[in-house]
Amino acid sequence: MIARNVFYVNLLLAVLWAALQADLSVTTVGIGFVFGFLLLSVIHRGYGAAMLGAVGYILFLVQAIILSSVQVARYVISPRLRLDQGIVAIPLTARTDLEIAILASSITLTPGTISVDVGRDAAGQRVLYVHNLVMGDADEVRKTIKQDFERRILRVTRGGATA
Amino acid sequence: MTTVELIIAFLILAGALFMLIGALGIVRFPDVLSRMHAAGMATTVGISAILLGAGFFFRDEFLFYRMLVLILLLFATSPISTTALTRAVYNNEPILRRQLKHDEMAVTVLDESMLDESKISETKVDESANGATSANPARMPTPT
Repeated sequence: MIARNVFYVNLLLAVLWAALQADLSVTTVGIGFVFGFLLLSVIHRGYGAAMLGAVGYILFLVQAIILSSVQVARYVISPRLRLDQGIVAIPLTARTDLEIAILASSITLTPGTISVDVGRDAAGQRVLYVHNLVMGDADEVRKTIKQDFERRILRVTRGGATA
Repeated sequence: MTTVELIIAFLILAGALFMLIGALGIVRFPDVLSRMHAAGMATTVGISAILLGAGFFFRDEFLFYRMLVLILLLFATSPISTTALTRAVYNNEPILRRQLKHDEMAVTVLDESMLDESKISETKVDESANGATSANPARMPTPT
């Protein structure tokens, strides 16, 4: 969470850069942000990796949304509906509210999966319940979400310390 | 037609197509939970593609950024309502719940509510038979 404070400093540097320019526009603030990012990623260990991870995560999320919406569109227009709905419990490595909120929102944004609830399973482990439109194998779903979504989010919020 | 115009046309047509497919999905899918998927797809992909196309179309820097902010806000807010609706449906529709082929949520979270749903009549009999002492406050069927 230190990366968040550094991010605020980065925003401050961007505004400072824009204030020293002749014109104030989104482009100047953006250029200031990029310069501030370069500076801070040299100064602060792990900040560069976390920010690149965040950008990478957004790109990955957009790609996942596009791919799976095409998939859901194919389910909709296929002559015979082959739905296989089910709810899968995903054990969470994410701990903080922010991590879980980002994970649940990302899963809901991706068509074909909706996060329903956060709870605890019989062993007391925190789990996220995800409703799938076409499920297939439950373990497969669990593995995909943990590896694709959760790992990337944790890499950003914890600076790549977790597997 | 320039390349920019082609991109604009592609984005807006793709958005409209996805919203059409989403509407079709709402009609075709069998129950609330699956329809939620179709509706969610229409909002996220359909509207953001159309907004992006509109942002390119007007050739205005600030309008474009405004569209990006709109997409961001949409992405931040729409999953919350979808999740809330889905959870409300799940908790209040026992018949729908039983239609799910695979439900790992039923075993843990919904123990109590499943009991409530299926045993409302029995608990009432229990209460009348054993008096108020046996009534467990956690299990009392709430009057609606």
